[in-house]
Amino acid sequence: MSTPVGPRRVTLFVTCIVDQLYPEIGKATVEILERQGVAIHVPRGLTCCGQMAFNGGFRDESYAVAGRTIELLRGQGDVVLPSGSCAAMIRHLYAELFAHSPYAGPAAELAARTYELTEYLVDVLGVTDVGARFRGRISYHDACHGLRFLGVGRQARALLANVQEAEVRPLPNCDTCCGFGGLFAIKQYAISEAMLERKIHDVHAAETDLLVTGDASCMTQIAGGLSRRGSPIRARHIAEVLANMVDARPV
Amino acid sequence: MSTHSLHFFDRVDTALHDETLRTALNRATARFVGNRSGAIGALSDADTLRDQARAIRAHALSRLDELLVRLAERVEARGGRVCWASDGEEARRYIAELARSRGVRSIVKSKSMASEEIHLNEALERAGVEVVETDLGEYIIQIAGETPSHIIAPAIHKTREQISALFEQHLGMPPTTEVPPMIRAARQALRQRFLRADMGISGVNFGIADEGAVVIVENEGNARLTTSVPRIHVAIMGIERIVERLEDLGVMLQVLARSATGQKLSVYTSIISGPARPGEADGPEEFHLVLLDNGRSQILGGQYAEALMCIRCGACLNACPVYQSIGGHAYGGVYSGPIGAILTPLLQPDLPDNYLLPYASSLCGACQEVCPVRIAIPDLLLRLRADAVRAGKFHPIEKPAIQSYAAMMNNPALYRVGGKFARLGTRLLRRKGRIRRLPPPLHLWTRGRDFPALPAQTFSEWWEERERQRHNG
Amino acid sequence: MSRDQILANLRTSLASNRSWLEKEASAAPHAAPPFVHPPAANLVAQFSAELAKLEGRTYPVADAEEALEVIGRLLDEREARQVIAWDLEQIDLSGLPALLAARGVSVLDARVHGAARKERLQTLEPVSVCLSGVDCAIAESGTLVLRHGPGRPRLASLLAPTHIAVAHRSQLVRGLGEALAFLRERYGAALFDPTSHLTFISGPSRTADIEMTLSLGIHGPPEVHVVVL
Repeated sequence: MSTPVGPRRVTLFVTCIVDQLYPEIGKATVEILERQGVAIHVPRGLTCCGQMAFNGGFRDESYAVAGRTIELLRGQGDVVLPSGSCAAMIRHLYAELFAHSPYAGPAAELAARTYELTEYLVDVLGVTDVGARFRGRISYHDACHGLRFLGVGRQARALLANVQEAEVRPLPNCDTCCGFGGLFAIKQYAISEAMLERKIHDVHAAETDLLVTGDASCMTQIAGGLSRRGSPIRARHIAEVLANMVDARPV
Repeated sequence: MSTHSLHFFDRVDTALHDETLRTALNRATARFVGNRSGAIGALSDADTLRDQARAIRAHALSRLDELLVRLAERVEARGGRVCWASDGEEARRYIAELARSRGVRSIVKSKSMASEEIHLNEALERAGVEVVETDLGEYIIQIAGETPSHIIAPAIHKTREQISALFEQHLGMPPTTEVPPMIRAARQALRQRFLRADMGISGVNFGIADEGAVVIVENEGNARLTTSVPRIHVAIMGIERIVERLEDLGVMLQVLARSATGQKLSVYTSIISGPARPGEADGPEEFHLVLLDNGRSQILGGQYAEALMCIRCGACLNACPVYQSIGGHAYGGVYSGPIGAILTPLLQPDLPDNYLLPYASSLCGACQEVCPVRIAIPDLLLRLRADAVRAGKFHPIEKPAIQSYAAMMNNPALYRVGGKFARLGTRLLRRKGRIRRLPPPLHLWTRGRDFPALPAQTFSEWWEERERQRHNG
Repeated sequence: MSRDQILANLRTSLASNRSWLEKEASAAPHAAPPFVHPPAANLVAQFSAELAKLEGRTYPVADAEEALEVIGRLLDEREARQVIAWDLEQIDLSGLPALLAARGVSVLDARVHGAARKERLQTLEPVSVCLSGVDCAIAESGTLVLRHGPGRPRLASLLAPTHIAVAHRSQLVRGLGEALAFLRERYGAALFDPTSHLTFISGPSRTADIEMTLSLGIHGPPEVHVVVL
């Protein structure tokens, strides 16, 4: 097997949730990027962006985790994440976390070369057709952090529009939060469930086969709600759709 | 029914189980959201207008000391009186003493969040003065013995049947579920209150430093009556609610009306500078401006100063999926929704479960997206969370949980082993590829949601294996 | 003293945050745009369309005679015998005093102050029509701008269920920014001298406080009629 040779090389940060829960999303990301001739590098020991502790208010713990991530990504060129939320943590919230600290400079430098997957494909590589095919109806949910802190959404829609044989159907209230919110899903479980209820209602109203989103965390929330209700609709990460890996994992 | 003595989680629970409330919230917030986006969308350059609004508010805050002095001097030069109130107690005492010395028996009030913040009505009623809220929504909740649940629409949680019953009981209105007769009954009853009142108390949307004037925005006309009909007008203004020039209104009134209700301009904007001048036919003979600090002067110096840019439009409430689910009362303070989760801990610091409010957000950012002055609400909520943690206010399980998370994430070996155990554990719990029940505290996840069984191999393991094969092959 | 304490706190606070606030303040220009929607060529038509959306009515008329005809009809329909009004010479419509006199409509004394205040208010309360002029009117929002003061009572656009306003085509401006600039130009530093009160009125009084159902006239006039000549 030969290493794809291309002018571009990226560092892939699959994020802790993909690494541990959804390796297929990581594999799908590799597949999509390599198909575009992008060489991939995965730094050893890369774990988490530190968002969970940061969102919980535990800044010291977050500082340690995120600081280590900055070190591991130092000098590693463009960084691509299959997650709008973790990319937003690096691009938007590291500035807050590392303000007035020795990491302020390196954090800003890292933020400038960090991309969410669909953003990298469309805005940097200029690709909107990655050769995907899916027979069925697809609806896209805008995961909040990617949408509001990175301005991602247009790119995913452009990519999905080129999935052959797929019918892309609008999701009502596609930009309303699914209720995940990290620890919010546990700490405020009742509100989180109420928000999920509305999201599930909208997903059913979309009359779709596949709910697609750009964050594994929101996907877990929506999939968990669909599965609990015995719905036949599946939830997938956009990378899985683009890499033709929708059926690569159960549920 | 008052839910304010309950703990935050109980208030949330009560709200989530109140079907009437959820129906009303859905209807109201959907309408507000639609109106707002229509009004903002119709502008040729809404983004610039919002940038301008933020800049104008920032400018005013950057010279707040100077502008307040100018405002006060010019109000006094026009024959008004100014009370500088450090806290609610000073404001209440000034107004109660004013009412006493002028022999005031009856007061009409138009909407004022600042007066709610300092519980002014209770204090005046204790002093033996009758106080009537005249904004229709405020009046409804006053006779119901409740507090506002929305900045713009205080009674959105009430149905027409509930309101009709209140009007039958308090106004002697014949039974009806039609809205027009209810409106007529309220108009008649409240009109007599206005004509007989000795004092009118209003809030302030903006003070204008250069003009020594206050701006009051409304749709009903009750604020115009409150500030024009009684002999004495008292305006209560949070000290941050100021702009420097009259011309600033050309930006501020436009973003306020569009963000609040989707109107181009509110029906009535009154700009009032002091009491009626000699020669004027009508208007109050006395004008008093109460400048309420209540912690604001110190907030200005800290990491929450940005919250003082807020113009109380309520757009962030309507856009917030958490507010849409639980409504305003669950927040426990006067200010609700995303901005309330910031303002309540800052302005009403004595409420016991304030530290939980910043967690009542999924940090989705819908609030910041609609804020007419672009307040970075999620960032401020995150800072409040950090403050709560520093103050030791969190559930006892959180600290060890976060610390073990951090230890794992910082140590690849531990991360690998820990992940392996977790994956193994979930594989034992799975049924048909999914998990329906996790052990505490994760049972809170599986209460209403399934969880995926974790895979046998992580992405990193797969990647390393692939790299090995590549180099060997 | 609280004043000094508050100001001292503010100055301490600004010592830490003033530079950040000044940076934010300089991020965008402060001058309000003269208007925010594409202006129409025909401002009367634009004003009329906007006011109609707010359930108010506009009567574009050719001359004073036609204006008087409209006002006369509105008064007749309401069987008005008394009105609360601006001093008639300030309404700037020749023939108005004669019109009222011919119909036996009297302008009530709207001077409300002193010991007779509440009594006078009760006298004014049953009146069915308010009559005023305007300082200017904003086309893109259907807004009337009234500067109150001597001879221009506030109650003359507020107390009765019908408000009739007389405006001239030359008084129409495109947007709020333009209206504020006009007021400044016309009155300069004396904008609030000898008056204490400016009011912007955009249509009839409204509320949606009962189940978000729009209702007119909860406190202010449910009817607004603007005669434009």
